[in-house]
Amino acid sequence: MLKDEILDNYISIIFRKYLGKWDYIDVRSIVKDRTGLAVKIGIAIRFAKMSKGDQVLPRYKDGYLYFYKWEEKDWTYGLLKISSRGDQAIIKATYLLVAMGLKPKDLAIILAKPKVIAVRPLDEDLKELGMIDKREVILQRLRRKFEAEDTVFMDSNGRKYRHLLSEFYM
Amino acid sequence: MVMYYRYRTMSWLDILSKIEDDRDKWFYVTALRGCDVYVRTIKTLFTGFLRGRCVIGRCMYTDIEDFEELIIEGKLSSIAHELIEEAKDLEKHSMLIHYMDHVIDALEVINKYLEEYVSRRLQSIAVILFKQEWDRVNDIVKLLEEIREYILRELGNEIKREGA
Repeated sequence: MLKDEILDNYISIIFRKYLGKWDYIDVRSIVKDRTGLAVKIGIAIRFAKMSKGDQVLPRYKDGYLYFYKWEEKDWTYGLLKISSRGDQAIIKATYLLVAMGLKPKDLAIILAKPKVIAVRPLDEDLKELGMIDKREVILQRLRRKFEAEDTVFMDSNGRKYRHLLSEFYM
Repeated sequence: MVMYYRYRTMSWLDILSKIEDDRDKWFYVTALRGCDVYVRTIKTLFTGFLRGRCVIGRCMYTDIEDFEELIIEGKLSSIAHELIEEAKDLEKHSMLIHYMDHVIDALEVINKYLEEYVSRRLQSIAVILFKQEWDRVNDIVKLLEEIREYILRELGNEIKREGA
């Protein structure tokens, strides 16, 4: 059985990979309802300077699913909308998430910086680390972190956020 | 003879599971998502064929049965005319032309991974239909007839049983 500190180190390595390139890094789950799959993006929309109801342009590149903020001047088709489930911001994208190999309740890394949100299956990073066989242990540790810390992160404007996981590991 | 029958029993999830390359998966799902403009014939003919058996609900989506119904029971010359009428609108809607490119890519992906289920000829006809010059109605009717013959040949016995 791996010690918690070792598990934390692995999780920290995953997060540090994105540090500096992205303003927001977190792990969120894929949700399913009767119409399909959606990804919870939570407060990533604040870091991406988007809001519920905004339209986003999906693109796939090198294992990442990007959602770009769509503006009127852009021409395209096949836009998606940021909708809400309770107070939670979600993007419904059944076909795209299934094509990425994601299933309901799977975890995905959510990254955000102004005008863009990216989604990547957590399993991909675990594979890169060679830790895919310890997947369940790492996920358990992540879940325990959520429950144990129940931390509220406060930004420079005094706004409070819950569950900003990257903050635990930086 | 069971070749096409096996394809028509597959859902889009089954089809997606046969596609290995990430880029090809992206081509396929992008075409599946459809276009934002209402184009009944184009959607039924091509998205219906791409989608296979629909598992979510027939009312909301075009599936392969709609595609077969249109080809087998529809009047081919009127389908061709509808196709051309919709294509005329395509020139006004640049997003639809863009969508057609996605569908051609997706048909080629099906060609690559599902050749054992769907004949290359049927795939090629669909691609030719999309690349066709739209003033040649007779050519389109001829191609649609080829599709109908293929489907009837593959499903002939089954259709007779259903009708009996």
